[in-house]
Amino acid sequence: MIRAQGLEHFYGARQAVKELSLDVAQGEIVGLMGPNGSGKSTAFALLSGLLPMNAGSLEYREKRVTPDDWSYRRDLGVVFQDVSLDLKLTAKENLSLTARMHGLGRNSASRVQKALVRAGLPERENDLVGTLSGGLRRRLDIARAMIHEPKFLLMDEPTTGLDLESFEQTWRILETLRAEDKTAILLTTHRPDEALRCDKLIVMRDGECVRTATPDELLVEAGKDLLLLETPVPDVVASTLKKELDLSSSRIGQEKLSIEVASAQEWVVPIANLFEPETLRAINFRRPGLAEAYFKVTGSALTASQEEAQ
Amino acid sequence: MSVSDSTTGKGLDNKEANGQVLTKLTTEIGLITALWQRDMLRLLKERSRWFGVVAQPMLLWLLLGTGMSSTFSLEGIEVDYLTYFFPGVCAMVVLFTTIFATMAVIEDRSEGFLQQVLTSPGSRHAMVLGKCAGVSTVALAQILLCALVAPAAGYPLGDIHWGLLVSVTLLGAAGLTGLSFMFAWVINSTHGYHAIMAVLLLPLWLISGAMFPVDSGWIANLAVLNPMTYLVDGFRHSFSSGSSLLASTPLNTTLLCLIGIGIGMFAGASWLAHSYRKGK
Repeated sequence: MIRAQGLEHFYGARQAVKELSLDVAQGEIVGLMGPNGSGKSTAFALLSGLLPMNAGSLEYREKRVTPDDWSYRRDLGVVFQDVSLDLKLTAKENLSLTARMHGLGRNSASRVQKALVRAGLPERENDLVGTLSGGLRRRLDIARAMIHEPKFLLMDEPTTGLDLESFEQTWRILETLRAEDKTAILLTTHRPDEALRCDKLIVMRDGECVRTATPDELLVEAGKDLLLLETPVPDVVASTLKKELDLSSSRIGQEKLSIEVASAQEWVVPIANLFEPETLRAINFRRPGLAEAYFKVTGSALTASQEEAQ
Repeated sequence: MSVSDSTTGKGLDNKEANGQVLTKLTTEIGLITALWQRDMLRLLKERSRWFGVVAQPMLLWLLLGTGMSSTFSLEGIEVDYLTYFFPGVCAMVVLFTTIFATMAVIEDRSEGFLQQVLTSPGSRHAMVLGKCAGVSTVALAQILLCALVAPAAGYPLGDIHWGLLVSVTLLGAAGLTGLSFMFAWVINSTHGYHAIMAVLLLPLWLISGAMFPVDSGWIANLAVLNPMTYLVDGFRHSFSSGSSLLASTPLNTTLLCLIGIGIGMFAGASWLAHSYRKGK
């Protein structure tokens, strides 16, 4: 449905996006995954027409377009990193204005009502947006972007600042749009839990796409599960594990061992049965997520906390 | 006009929205009316704006006009300074209205609303037109309010050419909106915008004949090039049944200049909005 090829953008001498190509099909959610500064928001701005492309081309429904073309913008819904509502107007007034901007003037009332329900705000329709909490504003902003039932939804870190309930609610909406309306959705994210829900991920680093894969494919690349053992006698435990279970371990610090295995869950009980509680104080296991996959693929951390951990 | 969708086979170029066919024109009109409606809604909500924009110039007119009355005189015409100054103060109301309203462009950029406008299907030309329409209507409402004070300035309500007053206000406000929009589009902070307005637009008002005649010397040459001159003259004609001896240009010239300035400023603002991207 949307195909971008060789997108490039420069801020002065610095190249923020380098030869980025991507495809988003109808009913597909594609994530541009990367940390801050990886170029994903610039790519978003190029696709939404807020920044000019220095190079590259865009196809929409197999026709060459520019982001300024009416046929593209008519079908485009955009959610920005910061809410784009008028804080001095009410929720209902904001939605009505957006509906009008999309040419829905006469028939906008039902769309506005539907959007208010979608945002969970029908009782607060006459409240000024400036008096709503950050989470409610976010939900209203997402409902705003969908009021004209776009065929292509472009979202820049749409769940930033949302609590868990709002996050889940937003994703329920996105999944409904994907399944029922066959909306093509492209979002930028640095959240592994969000990336995991996408159909396809474009891994970004320093303005470049370094890999396009499904979340499952990336998880496979992230490597094996990790067992972490706490023991006051790591050498004894390591040799027993090798002798009894043929497991090779690596020492981490004074009293810790790590073991890479295909499925950590299967090994917890056999290992626990080998040792007395005072010999083996704790067993933890960690399954690598998309943050680890990102590190494996790019060599860089996806999140600040991961960066500290590395 | 319809192009088949490769996956569903539906005609897509004119998408139906609840039975309403979307065309380029409907989205252009939609954007213009949305921006106009927004300015109206904000005007109704922000009542302090009325006070700031109307009361301040009126207070200036009353205090300065009364103070200057005893010393002001014009060669060959007997006129009280309160009468002379009133059309100039009306021009100031329009100027303040456009400055405040276009400053919202900078706020909209930082608060995000502008991004929504820029990604809507309407064009940048429609965006500028919508802004001009909104600000001009706000200015008109304020000028009509000011006109109620006109009898105190020596202009009986029966002598006011209302049609001309409305036309001059709308044309002048549209031109000034276009001009100040261009500054707001390229300036990033409201502080910077204030500075430019203080250095450029207020002096334009001063050398427009609003406060004193500008009929000789280098100021007279500048006044000919000054858009505000024609707005002040337009108000002078409007308050004097369509023809005023106090105006520096005849009515026809005044109107032609206001139309030219309006079109020119709109074209300039449209071009700048289209070619100079500041949405992000």
